[in-house]
Amino acid sequence: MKQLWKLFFIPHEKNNHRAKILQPSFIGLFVALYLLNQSLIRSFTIIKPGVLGYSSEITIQKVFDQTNQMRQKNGLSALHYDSVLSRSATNKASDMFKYDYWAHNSPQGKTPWDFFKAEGYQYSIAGENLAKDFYDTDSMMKAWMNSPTHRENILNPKYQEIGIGVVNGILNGVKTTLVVQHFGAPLNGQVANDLPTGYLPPPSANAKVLSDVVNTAPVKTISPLQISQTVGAIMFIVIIGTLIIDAYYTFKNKTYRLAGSSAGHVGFLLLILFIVLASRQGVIF
Amino acid sequence: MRHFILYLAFAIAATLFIYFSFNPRIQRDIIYATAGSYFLWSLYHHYQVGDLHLSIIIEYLVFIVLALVVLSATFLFS
Repeated sequence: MKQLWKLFFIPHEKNNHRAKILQPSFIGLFVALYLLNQSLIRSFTIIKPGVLGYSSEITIQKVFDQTNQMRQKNGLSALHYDSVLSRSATNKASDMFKYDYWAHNSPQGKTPWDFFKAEGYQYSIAGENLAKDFYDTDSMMKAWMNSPTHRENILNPKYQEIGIGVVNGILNGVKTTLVVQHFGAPLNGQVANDLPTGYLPPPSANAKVLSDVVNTAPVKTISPLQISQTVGAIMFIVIIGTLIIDAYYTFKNKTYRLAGSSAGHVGFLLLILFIVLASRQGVIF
Repeated sequence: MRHFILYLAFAIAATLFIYFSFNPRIQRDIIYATAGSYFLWSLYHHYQVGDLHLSIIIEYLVFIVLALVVLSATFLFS
């Protein structure tokens, strides 16, 4: 066992003065194992759709409140909740689940505006924001606000109304929550003052409790991203650790050998490890 | 000095990656640019040291492939 450890992690004459784990053939094995892991995750989502997924605690109420908070912070008027727009947003989310796509335009050629029209919403200006795989409303709003085009929709002074769809389902075999924001300004200029079913008195001056479509409590699921991140991080930590041990022994024994720069590899892999760990779940469109 | 420049480039790449957190396409470009720069740095570094051999080039390529494979998968699911 000790010999095996030495062979894999300590540079000495039996491994040609380079830890076995750092030799290109072994790194190639890591690549193969990682690809196998990804194939297994992908196959699992096809064979058992909905087992892996992203849990979410996002609700319409939170999205509505935070959208208006952002607008008011920027000196804009709050958007009115509109049940027609909310239906079009919910229909859009349901359509993405039904036809298994993630885009503004559906594979059947439906544009976002078709969903507005299907509900009879006549607009002078309209917009759509999409998000998926986010756990909480804060990080989703932050992602939207960091994106110039999504931010433009949220802070557009021409919009007067908003409808929000928060729908759970299975997309590409993975359980997730899709969030759709539909913005608009009615063509006739008459802004709706809808009260969704189950309306409760607002907890604050600008917030309404919206409960016509409520996201259920988050269900604990294992996300494919978590699995990929964990496997990737373990691999990088093992390789970085071995590179440091390797560099130490090479320096200590003053060994000359034909090999890449351990310091360079450590820096590069630390950067990649940072990116892997910094990747957060959630995509906007 | 050569390693200092390399680490500086990595720090800039990490900063840019966070700065463009809303745009996965730019993030991908940053990763490809960093990987490409790392490979070019390795060629220059080993040429200067005087031990630029095929086995070393392969070693760097294999490390870069590993990094790109892991990051592609992470992006696929994020």
